Amino acid sequence: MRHALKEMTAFTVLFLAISMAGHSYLMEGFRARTTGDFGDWNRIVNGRINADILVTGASRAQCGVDVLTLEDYFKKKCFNLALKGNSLSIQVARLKVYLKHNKAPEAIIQVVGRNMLRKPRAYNPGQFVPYLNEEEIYRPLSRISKHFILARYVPLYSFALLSPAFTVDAWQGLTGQEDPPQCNNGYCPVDMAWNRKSDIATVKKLYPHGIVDQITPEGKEAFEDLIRLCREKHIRLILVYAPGYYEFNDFVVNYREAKNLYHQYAQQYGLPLLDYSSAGITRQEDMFFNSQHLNYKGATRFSEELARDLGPILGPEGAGTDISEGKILTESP
Amino acid sequence: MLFNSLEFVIFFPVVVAGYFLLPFRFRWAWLLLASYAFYMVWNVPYVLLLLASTAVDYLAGLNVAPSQGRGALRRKLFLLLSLAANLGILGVFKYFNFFSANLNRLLETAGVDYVIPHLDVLLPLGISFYTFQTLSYTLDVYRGKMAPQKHLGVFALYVAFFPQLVAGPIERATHLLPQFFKNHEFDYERACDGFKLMLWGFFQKIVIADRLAHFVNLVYGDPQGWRGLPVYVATNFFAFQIYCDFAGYSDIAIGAAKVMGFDIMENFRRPYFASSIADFWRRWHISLSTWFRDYLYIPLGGNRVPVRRWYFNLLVVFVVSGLWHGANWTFVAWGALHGLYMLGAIWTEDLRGRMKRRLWLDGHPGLRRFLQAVVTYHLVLLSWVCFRARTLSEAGILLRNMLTFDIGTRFPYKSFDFVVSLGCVGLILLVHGLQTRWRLRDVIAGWPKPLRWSFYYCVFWMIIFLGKFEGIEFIYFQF
Repeated sequence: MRHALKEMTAFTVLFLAISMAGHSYLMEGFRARTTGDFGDWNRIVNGRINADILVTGASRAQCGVDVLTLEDYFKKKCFNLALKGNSLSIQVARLKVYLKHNKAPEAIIQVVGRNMLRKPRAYNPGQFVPYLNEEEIYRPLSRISKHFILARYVPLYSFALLSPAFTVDAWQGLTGQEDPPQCNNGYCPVDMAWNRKSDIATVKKLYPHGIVDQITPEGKEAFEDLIRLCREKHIRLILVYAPGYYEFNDFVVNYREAKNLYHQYAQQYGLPLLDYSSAGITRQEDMFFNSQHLNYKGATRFSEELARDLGPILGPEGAGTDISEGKILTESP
Repeated sequence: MLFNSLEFVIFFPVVVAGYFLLPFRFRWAWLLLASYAFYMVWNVPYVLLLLASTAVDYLAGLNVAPSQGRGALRRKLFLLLSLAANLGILGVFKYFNFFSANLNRLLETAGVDYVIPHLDVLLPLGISFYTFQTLSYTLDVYRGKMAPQKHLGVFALYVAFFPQLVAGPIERATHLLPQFFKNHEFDYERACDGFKLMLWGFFQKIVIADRLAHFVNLVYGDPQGWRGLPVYVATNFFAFQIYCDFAGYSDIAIGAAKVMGFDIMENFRRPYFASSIADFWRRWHISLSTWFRDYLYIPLGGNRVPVRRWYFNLLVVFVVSGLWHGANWTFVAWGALHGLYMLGAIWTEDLRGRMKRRLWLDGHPGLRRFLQAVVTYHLVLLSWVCFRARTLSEAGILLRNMLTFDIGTRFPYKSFDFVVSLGCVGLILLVHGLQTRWRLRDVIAGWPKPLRWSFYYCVFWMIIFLGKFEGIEFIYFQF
């Protein structure tokens, strides 16, 4: 019996030791990445961004706001910190990690819109795994799924869950094989045309009774957390309601209610709100690659318009505007 | 609880440790508790069905034994009670909606304005397995093959023993029950053997079956959209998916039982190397095919009846076996097809003998066996189309589409997963080929320790890096 126990312990300990070593080695691969999601995360945790203006939000921000246009306009360093598919609580968590390692920006442009106040959700979970030692992101993620807890403490657990693509990502970092960059300063344009008719037919078929925008207490709490954080760090927060193709608003049962909520927040907290929900671009099919997202052409056009509209707020004449006395532009000029 | 779940990774070592640390007299209770907990992780109220089946067969067992000096009528009544209760549970939970839907269609065609209501119930996990296992006990006691079990707790454990509770192998009471009365000491060699079998089972399920499932679902989810080679490839993949899924489960079950000192019957023996359909059924789901042989085919008269009756018996057994797999005409068709294959084999025996001689295959036994295996495999493959398709009409579409010539450039031939999948199928064939000559576990056990441990670590890491951990249920759970 003693021999058996010794053998089994030796087998297990050796297995765990090699697994832990392998895990650490592969994690180094992620930390060596310079492109893609890991590349952006590495720039954040290594404090290599230090932007003056940050764009935050989800996919509408990531593919719709060209930070290079904003940089050109304001002559300030801009970065798009948006996280595609993730709830606001995770976006705010990423912002906290950013603020821990980088200097606080002068302003944050938070792109709001459909489903932003949804219940906490982590999309593309693999991107968070190498950074789970950052408490700011680990805490909300561990509340979303037990897998994040196990991924932090159990060697190779994340590889079991997410491989083989995840392992390939690590391997690329270890061997220096980077994919051609798809994004620039966090802005990830999508150069695609859109088949509007087929999309409308699909939505009608999938949601015969319409779509309900999620507005959850957790979403509202995350929004208030963002406002609190900006106040603490003396960062100016500007809300931007992103444009979506107009025809699809009719499918959202509570579209007005959800949109009005942002206006209420803006008024309540004195935040500037630029609302592009009925701007001219929302009626131009060729500016979108699907109902909710601008394509490259649309993003370029929108970003130019946004820079001009932000001018009075972020430019010299707006520089003195305090967050508590900011202006509200309820419609696009 | 799924074997391929995190819960099981914690559950199993705790159960094993508790089992060997407890004094012998408490072990049955510990295992029974663990088995019910294992079942209740899936659904708590449905454990009542398990308890009902246990209670009925325990009572029936005590009253059907011929040696108890009881009257024949009383014995028959209790046997009927057991049959009615077990088949009744199966009938209500598994077949009621199937039969009512078909009856409703008939009534509608006949113009009768009556609709049999749909029963909104979950199919209890493992119901076909444990009802058949308890039935075999009552039938064996009735036939005097064994004495009734008087210890209710041990009998309950026989019905609910967690390694084989939800997907078999369907054990016989004569084989499993006496093992619960043995005081198993921890045996390191035997435990290692069990763990190795479990490791291989996990590999088959997580790396192979769940990977192949992706391609199978792609094609079988859109039968109209695929023609030619992709349908053929997907059906081949399904043949290996269902094998690795079910044989993987059986290996984990047998291995887990082995760690604790129990010997559970073999369920698969390289089925795709079978040289005939009859041979296939001696290798595929052995615990079920022997159950049907012993408790249906032989009681019907087997082959010791007039020839037409024999054909009838064969067909009945295979159709019922198909229906056992699920309440759908696709399973009935699958069973019937195998029954027809068996009849075809009987009717063409002389013709095949003449062909063998004409083609000089008698002088080349290796080639003959290879050709027989290829033909048998393809007959089985055709039947898998019925088994996997959602409806009979879809099966027809897939069979027709499979026979057209189309490379199907849309199919992801170049994907990483496809290459790994092909490798996995090759690996299974290689392992089975080697197993015809050697017992691989013994071969590996003979290697020096560093090499042996490295090999096991590699299998672990392959499961980690190549496995699909999406908590996919075992296919046979639904039966």
